[in-house]
Amino acid sequence: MKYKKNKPRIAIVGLTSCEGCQFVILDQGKRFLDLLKEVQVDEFRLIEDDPEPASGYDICFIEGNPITKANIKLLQEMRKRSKFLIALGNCAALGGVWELKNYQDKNKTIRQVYKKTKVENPDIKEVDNFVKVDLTIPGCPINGDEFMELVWQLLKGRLPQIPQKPVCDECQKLGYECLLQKGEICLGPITLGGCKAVCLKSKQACWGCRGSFEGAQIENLMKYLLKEFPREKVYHVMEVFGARDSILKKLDIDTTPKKATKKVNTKK
Amino acid sequence: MKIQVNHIGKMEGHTDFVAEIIKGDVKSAKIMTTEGARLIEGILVGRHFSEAPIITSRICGICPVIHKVCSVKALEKAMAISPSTQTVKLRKAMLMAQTIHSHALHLFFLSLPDFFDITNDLKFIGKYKKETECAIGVRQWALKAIEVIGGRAVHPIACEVGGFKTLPSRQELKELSQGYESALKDALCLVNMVTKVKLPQSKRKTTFIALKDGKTYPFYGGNIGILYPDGKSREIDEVKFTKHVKEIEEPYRAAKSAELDGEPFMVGALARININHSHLNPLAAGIFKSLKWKMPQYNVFHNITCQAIEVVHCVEELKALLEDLSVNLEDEISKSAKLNLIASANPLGKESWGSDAAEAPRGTLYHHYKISADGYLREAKVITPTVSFLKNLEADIAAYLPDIKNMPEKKRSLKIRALIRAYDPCISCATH
Repeated sequence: MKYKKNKPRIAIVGLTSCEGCQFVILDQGKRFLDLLKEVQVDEFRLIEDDPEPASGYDICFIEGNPITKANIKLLQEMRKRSKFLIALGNCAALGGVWELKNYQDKNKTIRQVYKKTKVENPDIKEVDNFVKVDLTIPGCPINGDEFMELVWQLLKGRLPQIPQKPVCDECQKLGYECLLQKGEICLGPITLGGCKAVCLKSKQACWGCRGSFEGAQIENLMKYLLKEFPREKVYHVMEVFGARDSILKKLDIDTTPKKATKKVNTKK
Repeated sequence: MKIQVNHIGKMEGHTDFVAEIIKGDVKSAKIMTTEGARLIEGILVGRHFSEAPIITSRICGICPVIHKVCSVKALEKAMAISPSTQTVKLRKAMLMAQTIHSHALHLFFLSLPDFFDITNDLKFIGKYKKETECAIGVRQWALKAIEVIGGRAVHPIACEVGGFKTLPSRQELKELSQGYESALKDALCLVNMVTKVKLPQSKRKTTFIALKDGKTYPFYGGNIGILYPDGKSREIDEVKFTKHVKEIEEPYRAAKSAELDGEPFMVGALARININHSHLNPLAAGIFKSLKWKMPQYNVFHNITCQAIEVVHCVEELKALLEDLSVNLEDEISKSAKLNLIASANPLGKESWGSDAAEAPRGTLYHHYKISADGYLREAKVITPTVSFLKNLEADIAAYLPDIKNMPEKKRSLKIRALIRAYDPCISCATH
């Protein structure tokens, strides 16, 4: 396939993750092939094994979490070489499922897995703790339609904005049952929409994988949830997709990760 | 002489390879994984059991379905919950769909280009437009099936302990089943391409493991079937998996590996075909017979040929399941909802444990959990297919190196990469 000159140069880079967001991109099938006609993909390990990195990129998508020192080095290198750096998916944006470790005694957690191997075991930190992030494409995994739409806007050279609306907006419009009213812990009212309330469609309450939106009434929802449910259960739900710290830091509540929730829940 | 292959692309996860050859003898051949450790088995301890299928499906973005299903099955066994026949059919349909899309992606986009000496898929896609459309076509059908049944293609949602949170409609299933003809045509196009390409040879004998039930070509459950290099075979109960298969920690990598009674072994499409080829669906069986292989097949490059045969088998199987479900699907409530299991205590009222083995696209997967009386996880263990075959892969590269060691470095590196990729390793899964 010959490249036309002056096409935007793209890099899609995975740090430590399940790579599911990269597969969402590949799963776009023909739409992905159409995109390939308009851009030059210089870096996307799932489809190429060319050793030479390019000198610069117009858009770099970072998927996954920088767990290893090599991950951090690569992330910083990609930032230097890229005009726009996009955090792709929940691991990059909010730390991912692995951030659960931050709420546990991580030295104990690692002993559940490794008896002797020396493995890097840092606290999990979001990508924006290491480099400037120009745009976040949220979700675990990302939503394919939303990704394609945002990319086409990016290719026009502007940074798009995801409409700051809750998951509840789409959930109600699509006529799904309200699980919060039904008595489940649901973070839909404060979580950024754009996922088409896909979990609610399957009657799974929202656990906040897309993070909270600007202007979300976090305090109201927290007051309600803490009145209705034990604090540990509310925190547990908020921890699964790394939303707990980012949501609570917007409130005047002590959010330093404590081992409290785990201790309570492992009691006999 | 040191052989180093860095940053192997076109596979899931990150790894390097290092080998040492002294006076013509291969002293070591090591897969040096560079993936960060996510400690999933560790973080599960202390979490409610209902989170396990959600969290473990995040082990892998290409095979989340099998992690979810295997996790759910192990938890059900732990709590003595039996799913309905309909639930099992829906899960099986998802497994078929996942195997189709994972194999089609791997064999066409990740592995096949190696045997055309192409390292960048964009060139491969440009050269083989029709075949690219076939690979995408059959994948889209399978992805749609997972979306319809599970609610989403990557990290499906609806599948839970005791059933499905929501069910597809008969109409949706019927529409899906109508995509069969086209999907089959695409699958056969892939078979045609794979069976025509000249693959390298590797003949090291090894032990194969795959689920076996003696009646079908099982993915969902069965005994652990073992085929030894001397031609003997045996079956062990799946709960005894870890009695024979032991995980090993190596100081040089975060991914673990495994041995069967102290020996390396192979899992995945090649192992399944070697153990269960007589139970393939008719069209897949026809393709298999036309190859006239002397069994067992020891050439690991044929793993991709076996994947192509399995794509056809799974397309046939998925069609049958969809047709059945599109007529017979009944409205039913998941046992999780019936027993109000979300965030609840262990229904047995005491500590209990359960384990399960199922066939992931890359081979036999094992999940094990211990659940406290109040419903929280005390132990979690996941042995992934790549962990299982990592030692076998190293042994196969070591056996292959003498044939290729005198090649120019670039060519040799490509040969090693091609062998590693033919295995379809998932380093993300291995370093969970």
